[in-house]
Amino acid sequence: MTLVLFPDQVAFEEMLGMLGYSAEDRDLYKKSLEHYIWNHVLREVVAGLNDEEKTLLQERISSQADDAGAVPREIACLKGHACISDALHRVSQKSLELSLSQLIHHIPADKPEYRERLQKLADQLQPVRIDLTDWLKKNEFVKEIFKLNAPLPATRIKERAERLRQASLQKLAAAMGLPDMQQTAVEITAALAQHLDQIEINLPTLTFVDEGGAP
Amino acid sequence: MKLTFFTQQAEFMDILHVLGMPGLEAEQVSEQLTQALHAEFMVKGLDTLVAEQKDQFRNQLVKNFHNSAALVENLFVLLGAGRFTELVQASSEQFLNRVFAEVMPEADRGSTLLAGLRAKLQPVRLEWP
Repeated sequence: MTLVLFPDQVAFEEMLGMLGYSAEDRDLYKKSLEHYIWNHVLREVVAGLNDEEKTLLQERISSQADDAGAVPREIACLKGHACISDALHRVSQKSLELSLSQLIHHIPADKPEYRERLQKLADQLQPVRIDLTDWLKKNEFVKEIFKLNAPLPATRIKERAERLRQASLQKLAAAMGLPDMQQTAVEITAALAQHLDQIEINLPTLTFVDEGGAP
Repeated sequence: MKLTFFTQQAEFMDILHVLGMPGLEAEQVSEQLTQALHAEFMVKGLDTLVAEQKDQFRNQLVKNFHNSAALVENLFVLLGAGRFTELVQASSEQFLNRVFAEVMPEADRGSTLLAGLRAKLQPVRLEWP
């Protein structure tokens, strides 16, 4: 199911077009927004369950591990369709406002009239309201994004990014012959970042050596 | 000039945003990865030095233990601008691939949507003034 983000979907796409989005990018943008909205809706709904409901939900979906659509379906059984529908309404409102506020920053300086057109669209903004009864029975999109039994993707990404950082710093410390001095590696990478900022200034004053080591 | 692992930092933030990460956390992840990239780049730089240069660099390390900026500048000089540029570009390209293989594996990307965003990210290309 595709969310209709604005009453005037065509105007919304025109707006993306005038901000320089190609047809492919417009489609990507809409899907990104849709993905983001559903992700947050389901997170919000699950977060609103009490411990007993969460346990019950886990029990109910554990036998349906191959069907991610089971999660919203079981939530609807536990809490009613309005629970998801209301969350969708709230999240889509916030997401669309956020999206518009971000798009305003992309308006070219020489196109101030775009701001007025964008504001007009913002005034028309209506959060999503849908009847979920049939949709909950089978929804490929939810199957694609929702996995309750595992940490949310964002959490895993943060953990993996930190692991990568730690491993890289340890490798650097070891390469410098200081395997127990990771803090030194942190300081040196920070200095590298700072140094790179100044390279254009320093470049003419540096004496380079060739690959053979001769100055 | 900032050394980043791709030129479209905003696009990467979009990906994290799509995956439900708030803005501040996305910035932290970006910073973590940038630090990792810098470390990987330094390791590559050290590997590139000939034995004599490595010794020189390590001596500098002992002398200038608390002057990290001087150490980095020393490495930059030892490598030379051409090698430095090559390494930045190679490191950027390899690191970008690692980020998507290790930090954002297929299971989390999950859809053609994120694969499409990945295709838009380009490694760094340095151009000297």
